[in-house]
Amino acid sequence: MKYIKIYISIFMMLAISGCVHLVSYYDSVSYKNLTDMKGEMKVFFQSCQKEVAKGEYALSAIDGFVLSSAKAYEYEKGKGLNDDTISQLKTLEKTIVEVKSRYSSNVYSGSTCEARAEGVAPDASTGCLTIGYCIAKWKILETAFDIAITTEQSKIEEFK
Amino acid sequence: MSGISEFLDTLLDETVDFARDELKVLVKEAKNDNRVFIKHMGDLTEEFIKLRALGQLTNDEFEELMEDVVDLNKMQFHKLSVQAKARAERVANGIRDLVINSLLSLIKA
Repeated sequence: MKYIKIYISIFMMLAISGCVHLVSYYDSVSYKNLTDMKGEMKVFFQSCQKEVAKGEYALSAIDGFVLSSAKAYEYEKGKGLNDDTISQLKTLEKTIVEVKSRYSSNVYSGSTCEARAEGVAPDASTGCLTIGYCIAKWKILETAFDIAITTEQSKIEEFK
Repeated sequence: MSGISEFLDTLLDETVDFARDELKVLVKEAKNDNRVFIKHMGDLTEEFIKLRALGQLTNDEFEELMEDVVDLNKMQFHKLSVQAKARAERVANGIRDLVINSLLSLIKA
C-alpha cells in the first residue's frame, strides 16, 4: 500500500511537470498522411463536381483513397494514447469506403449516372458518381479532414 | 428557391403531416450559432436538403450524407466546450429525428 502511494505521488509529480503525457505526441507522419489524402481527394472531387466520375480512372483513384485511409488508420492504431485520433480516422475511413460503395451501386449508361436496379455490381468499373453527390460528399470529407488535421496540430500546442 | 421552407415545399405535399416548423427552427438556430462547427452543421443540413429538393441527390445519397453530418459531430465532439457539446448533441439528435427518421420516409420518390 505504501509503495502504491509512492508510485502515485511520483506519477502525479511527473504529470504535473509535463514528463508524462496522457495523449500521443504530435506526429509529422500522421499530419502528412492527412494533408496528402486531403489534397489528392480535393483534386478528384473538384473534377467530379463538374463532370460525372466514371470509368477505370475514377475507380482506380477511389481504390487508392480507400487504401490510403486504411493505411492511415492502421498507423494511428499502432500508437498508444491515441484514442481520439483513432476514432477520427475510423470515421474518415468509413466515409471514404462509402464513396467506393456509392460508385459500385451506380451505373453509367448513355450520358447519365443512376442507381443500379440490381444494387451493387460485381464489375464496379461500370459505376459512377453523380455531380450532386460529389458536391455534397466533398463538403463532408473536407470538414472531416479539417477536424483530424487540427486535432494533430493541437498536439504541438499541447506539448510546447 | 432560396430558403428551407421552399425546399420542404418542393419535397413534401402540403397535406403531409411533418414537423416543418421544428426543422426550420433547428436549422435556423444552428446556422445562427456563433460556434463555427454548429453553424457548419446547420449550413450542411440546409445545403443537402436543397440538393435533394433540386433532384441532385437521391433519397439514398441524402440519407448517407445526413448520417455523415451526425458522424462529423462525433469527430469534433471531444474538442468542444461542455456548453458547445450539449448544443452540438441537440442539433445532431434533431437531424437524426427530423431528417433521417422522419423527413426521408415522407419525401416523394
